[in-house]
Amino acid sequence: MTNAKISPRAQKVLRNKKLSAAIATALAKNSHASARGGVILKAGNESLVIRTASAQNAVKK
Amino acid sequence: MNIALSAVIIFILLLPPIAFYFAFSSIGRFPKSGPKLGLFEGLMLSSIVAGLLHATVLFFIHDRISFDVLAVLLGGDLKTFGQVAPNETFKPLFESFIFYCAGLTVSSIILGFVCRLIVQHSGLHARSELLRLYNKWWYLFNGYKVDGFINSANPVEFDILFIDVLVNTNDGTMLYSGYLIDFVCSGEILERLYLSETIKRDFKKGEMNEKGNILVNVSGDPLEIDGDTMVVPFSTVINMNLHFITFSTNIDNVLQNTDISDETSKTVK
Repeated sequence: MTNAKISPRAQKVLRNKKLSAAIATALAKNSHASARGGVILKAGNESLVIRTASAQNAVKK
Repeated sequence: MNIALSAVIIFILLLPPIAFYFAFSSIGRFPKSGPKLGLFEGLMLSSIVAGLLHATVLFFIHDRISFDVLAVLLGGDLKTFGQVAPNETFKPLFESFIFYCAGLTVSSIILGFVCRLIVQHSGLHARSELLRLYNKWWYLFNGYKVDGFINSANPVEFDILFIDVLVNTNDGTMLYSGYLIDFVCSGEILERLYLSETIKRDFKKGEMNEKGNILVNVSGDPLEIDGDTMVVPFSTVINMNLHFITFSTNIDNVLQNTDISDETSKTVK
């Protein structure tokens, strides 16, 4: 049992060590970009869009 | 001994509002800390609320109430107790008193739970300091303190919290980044953060120029820390930067793909 919010989608990501580490590295490397809106991670043909709350606000506004 | 009896009876009479308070705000994880009152202020406040509560309930009770017996017991003068309440009349009086106090205390607990549910579901706890149910760290880590959502009843929606923590170490100031998987609080004080997939960086990067070795305001190269969970004591933390992360819906397709590139585009439009 954890006290922090981790959605089922995030739990799937955390179970995949390679992907979660890649996302963490991308976010850490691009902390200025993640503050602006988020980062995109390429995984083969797929692009994983990782948005931050500020980006969601911008979309809503 | 008589003073002890008076204290026990007063405590029983003060119990319903205290039971309501604990049922409303002091249960569950991360409850907000109680009001900072001294013993005297606490007793006075409880007495006023209990007095109002008992007066309200007694308004609806039309049976005869033997206040003279209660007054003798509260005064602690047990010499005249035998004249006021002989044995045969004291038994039903005592039973009625216990049922009254027990009923009122249980009703207060139920009312406290009901009020808590109403405040939780209406979101009032996030907007009103008086009705706040959790400590302030709980609101921060659950997305209630995000631009555009402050003072709103609902938190921002996110999948996981990614956190940059600036930590004072013996080797200087370091930046740790990772997913927040747990946190521990003691009252309103944050004690520990548990991070997963933690990355460590120098807060400032050392560079050489014509003046020699200088520190520039750019964080150093990320270094992945081995291990599953990193514990950061909050006493060593200077500040924190929170990123409330949402993954796109194609996460299942991405998870099937093992070819993950380190190349990342820098902004999302």
